[in-house]
Amino acid sequence: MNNNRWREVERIFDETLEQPELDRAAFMAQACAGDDTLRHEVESLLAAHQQAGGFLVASAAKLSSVNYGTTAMSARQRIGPYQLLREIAQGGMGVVWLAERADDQYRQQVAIKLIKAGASNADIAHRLRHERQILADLNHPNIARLLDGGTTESGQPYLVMEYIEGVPIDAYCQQQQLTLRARLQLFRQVCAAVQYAHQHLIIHRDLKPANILVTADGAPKLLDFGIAKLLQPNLADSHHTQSGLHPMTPAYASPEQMRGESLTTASDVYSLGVVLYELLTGRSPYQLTTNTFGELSRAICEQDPIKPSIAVTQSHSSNEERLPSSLRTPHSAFRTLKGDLDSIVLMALRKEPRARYSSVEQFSEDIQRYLDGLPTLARKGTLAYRAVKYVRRYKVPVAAAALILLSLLGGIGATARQAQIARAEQAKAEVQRLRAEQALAVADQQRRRAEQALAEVKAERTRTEDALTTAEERRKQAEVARNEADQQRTEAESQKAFADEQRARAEQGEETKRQFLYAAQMKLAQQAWESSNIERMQELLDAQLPQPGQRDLRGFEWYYFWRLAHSDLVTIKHEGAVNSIVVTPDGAKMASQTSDGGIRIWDTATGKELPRIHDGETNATCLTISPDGQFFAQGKANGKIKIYSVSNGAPLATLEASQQVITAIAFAPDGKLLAASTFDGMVGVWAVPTWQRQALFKVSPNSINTIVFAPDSKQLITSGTAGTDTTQVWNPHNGQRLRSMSQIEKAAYKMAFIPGSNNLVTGDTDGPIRIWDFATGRLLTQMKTTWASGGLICSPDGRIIASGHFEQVVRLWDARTGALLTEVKGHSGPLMALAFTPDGKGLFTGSQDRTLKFRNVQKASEAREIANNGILSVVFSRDGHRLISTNYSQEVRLHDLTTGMALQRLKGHQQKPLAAGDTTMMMKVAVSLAGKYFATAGYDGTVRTWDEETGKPLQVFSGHTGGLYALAISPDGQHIASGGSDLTMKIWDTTSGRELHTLSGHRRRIRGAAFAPHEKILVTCSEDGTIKIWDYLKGVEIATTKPYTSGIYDLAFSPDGRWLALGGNDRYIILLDTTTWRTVKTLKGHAQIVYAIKFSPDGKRLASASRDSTTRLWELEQGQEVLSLRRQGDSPMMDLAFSPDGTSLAAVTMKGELFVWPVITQQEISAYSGAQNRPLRANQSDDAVRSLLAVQPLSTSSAALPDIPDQKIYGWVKGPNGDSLRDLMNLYAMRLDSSVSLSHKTSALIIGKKEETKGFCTIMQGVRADHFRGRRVRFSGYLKSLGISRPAGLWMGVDGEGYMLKYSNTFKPASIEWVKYEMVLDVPEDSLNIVFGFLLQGEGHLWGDDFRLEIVDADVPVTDISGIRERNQAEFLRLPEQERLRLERGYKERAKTLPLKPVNMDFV
Amino acid sequence: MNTTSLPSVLEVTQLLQAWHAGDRAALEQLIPLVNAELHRLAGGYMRRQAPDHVLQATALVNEAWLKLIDWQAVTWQNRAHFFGVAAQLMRRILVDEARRQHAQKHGGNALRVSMSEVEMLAQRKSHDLLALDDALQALAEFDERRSRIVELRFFGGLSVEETAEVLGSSPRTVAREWRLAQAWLYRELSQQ
Repeated sequence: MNNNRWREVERIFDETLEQPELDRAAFMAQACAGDDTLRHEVESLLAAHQQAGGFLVASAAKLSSVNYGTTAMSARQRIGPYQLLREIAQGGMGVVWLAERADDQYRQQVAIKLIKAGASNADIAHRLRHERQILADLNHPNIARLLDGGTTESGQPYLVMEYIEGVPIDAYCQQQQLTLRARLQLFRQVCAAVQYAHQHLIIHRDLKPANILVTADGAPKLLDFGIAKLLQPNLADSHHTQSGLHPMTPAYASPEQMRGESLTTASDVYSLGVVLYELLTGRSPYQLTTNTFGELSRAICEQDPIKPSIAVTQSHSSNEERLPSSLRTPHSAFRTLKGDLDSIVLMALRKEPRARYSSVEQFSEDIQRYLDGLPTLARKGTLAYRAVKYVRRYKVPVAAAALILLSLLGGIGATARQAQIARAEQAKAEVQRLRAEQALAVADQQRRRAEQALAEVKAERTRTEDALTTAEERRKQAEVARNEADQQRTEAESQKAFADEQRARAEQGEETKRQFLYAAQMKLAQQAWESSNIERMQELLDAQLPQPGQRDLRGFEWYYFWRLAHSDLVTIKHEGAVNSIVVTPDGAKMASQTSDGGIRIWDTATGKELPRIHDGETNATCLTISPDGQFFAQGKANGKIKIYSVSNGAPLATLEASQQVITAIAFAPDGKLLAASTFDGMVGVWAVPTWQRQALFKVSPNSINTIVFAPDSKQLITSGTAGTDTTQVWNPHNGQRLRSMSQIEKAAYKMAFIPGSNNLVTGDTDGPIRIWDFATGRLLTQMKTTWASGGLICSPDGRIIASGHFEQVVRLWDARTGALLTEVKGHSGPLMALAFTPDGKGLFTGSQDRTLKFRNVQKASEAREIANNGILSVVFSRDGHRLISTNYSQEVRLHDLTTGMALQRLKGHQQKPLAAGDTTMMMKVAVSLAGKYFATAGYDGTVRTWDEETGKPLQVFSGHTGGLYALAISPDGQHIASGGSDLTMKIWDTTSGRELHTLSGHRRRIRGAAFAPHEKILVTCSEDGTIKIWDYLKGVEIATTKPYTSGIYDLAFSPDGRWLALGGNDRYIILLDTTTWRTVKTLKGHAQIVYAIKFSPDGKRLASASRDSTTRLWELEQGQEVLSLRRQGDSPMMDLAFSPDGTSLAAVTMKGELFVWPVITQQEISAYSGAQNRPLRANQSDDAVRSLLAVQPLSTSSAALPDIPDQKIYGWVKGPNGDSLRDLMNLYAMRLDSSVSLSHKTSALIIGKKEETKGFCTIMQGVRADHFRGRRVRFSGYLKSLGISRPAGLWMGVDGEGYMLKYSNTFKPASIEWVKYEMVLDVPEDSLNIVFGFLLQGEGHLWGDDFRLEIVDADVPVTDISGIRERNQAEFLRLPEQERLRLERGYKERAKTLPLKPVNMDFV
Repeated sequence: MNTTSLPSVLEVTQLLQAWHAGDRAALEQLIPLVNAELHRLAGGYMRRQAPDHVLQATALVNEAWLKLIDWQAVTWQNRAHFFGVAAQLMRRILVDEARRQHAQKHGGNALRVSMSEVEMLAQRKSHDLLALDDALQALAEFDERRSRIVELRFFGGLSVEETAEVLGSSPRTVAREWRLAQAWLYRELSQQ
């Protein structure tokens, strides 16, 4: 803008503003007449002026910071009559100076606090004037006095306070080494001062050791009383979020203070509680890991403080010098703090202000009671508090809850009314409570007065004997008064109790509604899942995250849905729709493409993104990779194909097929040819890697949708939107047409060959996916579905076909049968691209929703199939790692839960034909929780027990005359109850191995039995509709009841023994109260017979299996259904089992399938949310989330085990298990006195005990073989041995200083090469674990960075070490035969005597 | 502490005088000196203060000034005059700081924030400050005087009266001139 112009603008702007407001528009229009630009300029400036308000008015300094510039002080300066001496401290509120009165009248040192200039100095100054007097009136020997206050010349407020020379109370206690008693007494003095201030209606708000100084003569002095309030007067009464200064110290702030709620004296009680906590334990009440404000805030508002007695022992060694002398050993500290002191401190620290001590005085008195050895209030209150805490208040808005309920449940009026009543009740209760509290206060006051009178009387009596008579009379009066006051107090207390109860009831009403809301939302979540609306589902789940102070209502179903919502292991955002995904044949890299973002590439092992390939064009349509993984071929919308090097992203060639869009690209399987099709019906073929064009021919006048090479690489199939011959076969070398596949009527949109076969899969726009025999053109299978617009691919093993669909799902099909395996959901847009990892376990999916997701194919499904052959019944092993099933062949199987593999088959029960009158066969199984065995009840009428670890048969109980349908084991494991068609129950004693009693009375077949958890009773149910309660030790019936109208098929006790649940032919489930045996709840929902019911281990859920093909989950407080599970291709549900940790639910269908619905655990959720750069390999672990956790250090229960650096430990094993273990022991017994265990489930870790004579031990450690199956691996580092465990057994190799080379019972590796510090071998496909042994000498480090386990690519040359191998072998063989035999015999002998010590293992 | 590496009080004072006397290069020399002092102060604070105490740039700038300048040695016309000089320096330092923060984009080494300072954190404003600085420069191109008024008032924290004093003008005029400068800047910044 030129100067003159600006002057003009300036002039009119100023002049306009001089005009009366109404005239301005006209004035300006006239002033700018004829110059629109000018007018526009001035107009906009005037508008800006109107809006600018305080813009730039506050200075930059004020906006962004505290302004020291205008207020900083220096020594020798004066403030009022005071001369500043030196700066004492800087704090959140300002600077504190030591000063003295400058007039020579008298010398008094004072502390002057210069308040930081906040938003408004004037405000503070005003308040200061107002409140100064109140604060100055605080006249207590233990409170630092406020002497003066005002504002400096520059307007900065200041306060003049008594100067205290002292040290903070915590430092004082430490310096003086105060005893526990002295600390408590000192603390009581602090309480007295705080109480004094409270009586003057002043709350401190910022109590902390730094504000409690102790002077040289041992008197505590409290600083800064009321200052906080002075600075933030609105804190208590404003609902606005406070910005700026919050004069408080988070570490000592109460929950309500953290939340910015209004404060009462209870907040000071809390802060004092923290101070006391620290004086007693030397640490803070919360265990924080990061110490950030957020974490602290959460801890204060949500986390329960650690009990002082526990806290003090946890950090004892680091804190010792801060503790009272009597607490100097962890043991004494624990003993001293446990009990009363724990209760006192925790009572002061309760989250709810009302639950704390009602006054500081009460707090202090309770400490005195402790000192006097009297029972404390806190201790008494703890139990009651816990009960009340259970029905804590929560904050879901009543209205919202009611609204949703209303729409869902239909109970419109009732619900709203209920809410209203609940609210009214609550309000009423509140009023009554307030009244009661008032009465209580009055009573207290009277009581105090009476006590005062009493004290006075006492004093008088000592003063003079003469007044004795009078005094005695007054004493009596006083006592009467006190009694009266006490009585009033009692009354008031009972009123308060009543009010509290009513209040609790009102609150319970709200809790009930919350539970209904929860159940309703879980149903909505299920609907959202079924309609693959994952976002909605996540919203619903998030809505149920408990708010601070709320009870957590979540159960199995929530964690189940969460797992479904996050079945993707990794989600990668893109800038555009992901139109192609390719994976290198070795699986090391994955690449994706968006039309305008180029090719993005990831290292799958680390999940890190590599440099992207981008030519700046935005026309990429498709992407493929050569079979050798060397080249990317990228199709463009302009008919060009770009070739890039996969290894370095370099552009290698640009090919041209036509001017039209490239619709598909394909490499020949032999890697020698590349073909591409275009939108205008052209096909081009080029040689690889010369990129010379071999052929270019017109296939059709219309677009070609898809091309694919036949497995022989000699035929190219094209399909497109032509008239009759849509699908044709060509010679790719010359473009000659070989034949037409006219049987494929519709143009295929996507095509693929099933690896390992000559079968062609096609998908067309009309839906069906069809599999053809390519040679004969015969249709093999047809899968009815919708248009697979988002891709059609086969897993590399040829077993699974994946199709991507417009409706946001991926469907997985069995390539042989065409059965739908599962639907994979999670994208919020149509699918566009699919790719499997080379092992077929991982699936990448790309969508228009601009994300690429990666999942484990198995984990993506709702349920995991474990077996599908005639299973009848199932239970989990006690460790939850295995499933124990029975089947129609009357066989018992142990399954590994992780791999799904059948580990063992146990035979013993006889097969019998179905007896007349029996419609179904049964074989029940039960695990003893105490007895380390499991039992099976067969159709042959026998009960058998088996060793839970080894599967070894233990006992056989026979005597029944018909098939068995009911089986139960007593809680102590000593007794087994069985029953069935012969209408009797038999009680077996496992100690004596004999029958204890036969119980008769049921009139029809007995279907279920259950022992009560805490009482010596057995309950049985029968098709006769009755349950019978037995004293099974005496063998007598206690009662019979018929709560059900028809046959009862199963029953179960809740874990706490409170409820007995039963279900059957009536289709509903009933819950009986076990004290009255009356029905208290009826759970309705199943449409047909309920066959089995189980309580979740935490007792909060009940699962039921029904003939209606569903398994349902019920929450038990309101009896609402929260989840309904179905199996693909409905089949009646026969049996159920919860895993011991409640994280999996197994079910058996009438078709004999056994499958598991897993959930995700809280830890896994945290790991999922926290992890970045997750590996893109499904085989990283069967459960990739878990693999993240697996690197966490783990502890062991056995003290004898050596210390092992923990960063690479994957887990302790649980075992033993079968022959593989014995082999391992055989090997190691020779050198070690070891305790060994091994398991299929876990990453094996085998621990050897330190050998006494030689002072070293061999540590064996293992990893899951998943990473390495089928690969050539190289180990380097100081390895002693190497083993591979497989279902068939264990193969083991030991270098043993070179004299032993190989050991194997069932397997000789095809290739194994050894040198001392390096070995290379091929890992068999069926390997479970790779185990390696290390020599650990003394306290030496086990393995460090020098240990490596790496996959060696087949084409990378490996040092030729065959010579060494032969030498080693020869050396071993050269040993005298006797010596070799002796060695082998030696360790076999010792193996027999080795103690087996299973160590409990779990990830995390 | 190695005192030789610190700028001497005299040195700073002389530079200030030189700058005041019209030597623009003196400002270029001043800035690193002041910054060095800032860092030294910051280090000292960090050791003394609770770990999550946040230091405010301007508080430090002011403090640095007080420590750097020998008040007696400078013949200031008046207090306002001093701030007139300081305002320019303040602007430079604040804007440099904002630019640095902006570049870092709340990087990993961001200081931890204690509750009371959350709202005050200057980081949030770094962007605005940079935009303002640019706009001020643009304004200076055709109306240096108004740009200076804004600098004095906003960066220097001077009142209208003080600004008038520095510029040797009447408060009424300054208020009027400020009005348009404010409107112009407001328009510029709100269009962005």
